Amino acid sequence: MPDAPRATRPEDENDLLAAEYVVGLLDSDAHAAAAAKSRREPIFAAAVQGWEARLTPMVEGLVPVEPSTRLWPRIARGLPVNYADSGQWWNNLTVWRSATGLAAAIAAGLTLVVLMPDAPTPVGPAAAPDLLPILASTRMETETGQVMFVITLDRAQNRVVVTPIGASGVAGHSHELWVVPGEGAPISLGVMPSDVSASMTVNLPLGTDASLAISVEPEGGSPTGLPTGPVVAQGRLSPV
Amino acid sequence: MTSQSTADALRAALAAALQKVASGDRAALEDVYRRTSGKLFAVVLRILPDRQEAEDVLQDVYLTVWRKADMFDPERASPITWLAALARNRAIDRLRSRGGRTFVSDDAVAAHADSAPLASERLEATEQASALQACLDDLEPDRADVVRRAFFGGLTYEALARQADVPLGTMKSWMRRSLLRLRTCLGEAHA
Repeated sequence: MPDAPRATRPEDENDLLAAEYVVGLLDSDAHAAAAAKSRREPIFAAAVQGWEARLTPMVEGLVPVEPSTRLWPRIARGLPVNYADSGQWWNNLTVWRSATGLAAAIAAGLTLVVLMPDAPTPVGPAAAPDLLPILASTRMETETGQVMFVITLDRAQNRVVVTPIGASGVAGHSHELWVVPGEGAPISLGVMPSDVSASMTVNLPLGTDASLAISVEPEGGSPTGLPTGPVVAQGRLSPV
Repeated sequence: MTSQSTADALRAALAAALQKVASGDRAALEDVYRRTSGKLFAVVLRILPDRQEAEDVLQDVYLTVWRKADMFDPERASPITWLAALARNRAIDRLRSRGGRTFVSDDAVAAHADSAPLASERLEATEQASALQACLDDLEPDRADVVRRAFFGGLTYEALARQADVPLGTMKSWMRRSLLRLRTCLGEAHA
């Protein structure tokens, strides 16, 4: 009688939430809430680990797919102790070109500041000379001098951190961050938070030849995969 | 050597490599990468079918392994389980953080989930995988299929309900019942 009605016991609720989180059944908000809960509550974190142990063996049946041969070198360059070639991509990152395709759409009066600051904690003392606290920054002032977001690129982790500063959300709309390649369509980096700092991983080789832009989209992000609303800010990285 | 003892040896080698990574050994990370990147890439691709995006996530996964290898406890998890759970976690975070709408439609994800492996395709399954498989086989085939699709694709209740053309509440109740049955079944298997 697998489908016989069955009341969920209270102690099952927490465990089921952990299972739902591990499987990936929860929508964005609930998923984020469960992630926060697992960081906060050791009992819930243990339940999450329990479900990971139960379910993850399913991946054994997957046939491996080899990633690009360029991926390992990219990872190696991201390691803090790798002095030998850690400067390579950086030396190529002279400018992030401005978004010619979107320039005409840029509304005046808004600012995007792009910084490249904090290198991570060196793993060993010898790593120190390779790590510069601030690598590059571009400040684009508006007429009013208002700063909308601070975008930080953590070179060691290939991670972009978005911190809203003076972003005023528009009800029913989201700000979405795009990389604008020299050629081709903008690529979404994701929907920006309006009140908290958030981060995402970036592909740096793409970044060396691209600008960033922020558009106003329907809540939750562009429904088409391309910017649909006005570009309200843009910026580019440049070495300090 | 039986396939099981081969699997045990590989598992021990991987666990040892992870412990070296925890002490800052770069070559060990490369070793871990060579041993596992194909499998982890397959895991991430199920959730994020765009190769470029999946590689971005994979890069993040190995950099996280570099920083957090000391959190791997061989007493508590097999190394591949630990790595695959980390990879799935990052891929799902990525999928959810962008609202799941910007890059890849649910249909594209579903197309990948459809090709999730069948029982007959499994090779050299570990004890844990065999036990899980037996418990999945104990569910009705369509319910087991939903669990697999959800797990491999990182699909939400909403996407699963839409695919199966059933109300959200029905899907939720199916899935929760399946999960509880799996828990019971696996608990018995371990006892």
